Amino acid sequence: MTLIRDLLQLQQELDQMLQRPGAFFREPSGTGVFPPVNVFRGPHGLSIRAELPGVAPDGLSVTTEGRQLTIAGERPAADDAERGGYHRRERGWGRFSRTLHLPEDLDTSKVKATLRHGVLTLEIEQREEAKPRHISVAAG
Amino acid sequence: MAAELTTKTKQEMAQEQTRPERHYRPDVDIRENDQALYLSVDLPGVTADGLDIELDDGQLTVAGRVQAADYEGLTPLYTEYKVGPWIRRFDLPDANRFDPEQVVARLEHGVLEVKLPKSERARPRKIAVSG
Repeated sequence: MTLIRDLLQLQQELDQMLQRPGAFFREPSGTGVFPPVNVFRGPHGLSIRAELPGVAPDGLSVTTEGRQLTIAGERPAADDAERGGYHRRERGWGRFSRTLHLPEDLDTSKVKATLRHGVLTLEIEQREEAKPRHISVAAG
Repeated sequence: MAAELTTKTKQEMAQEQTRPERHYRPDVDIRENDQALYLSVDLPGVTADGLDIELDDGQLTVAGRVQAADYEGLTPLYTEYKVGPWIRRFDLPDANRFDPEQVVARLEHGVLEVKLPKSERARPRKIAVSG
């Protein structure tokens, strides 16, 4: 598996992989599970991405309990009637909550969450004992 | 009971673009009152310098680039959604009501808000006459 170099390559690799929700995390696979996530391996563990446009940091909660990580929150509907009526209304609104069951080699006490430009990034480090270790060989 | 957000599969833009990456169609809300036309466009992953908004000859185009650099050093393991640049175009009815100079745009939390104020008078148009 090669590292990402450009957008076209990223697209091709993601396309090859597109899978039904829940297959990685062993959740029950319901339809319309929100948010959809993409999972990457990074240098120190896992990097999980989710698109959450219109969700502010104070509208989002990320919690862990044992091996479970829950992303929950709300995207509010616009409440400003003075903008007039809708010609089109395609953007959804409402609550969401999704629980992911994380692989065992991850240290769930070490999760870093960032919300930028409408994208949530979760970085979860591998457990120390699961990290690859270099073993020096003594001459003998 | 509160509404619940559900997932929608991203729609690929069928119209060909000059760049080879697949482009996707962002979700848009459009509202209108006496003063202006308002668009809200979901553009997750797009920063202000990756955003182009054009109002040209009655057509409004919103294009947002995403950065491969955001994925530097990463290897895909599992995916549920596609990633790519966004593009969407609208033909504005009575386009002469909108002045490109007055369009206001703001990008926050991955959502672009565009306000197109309606000008008081239509722009004068020069009509060429032959003969």
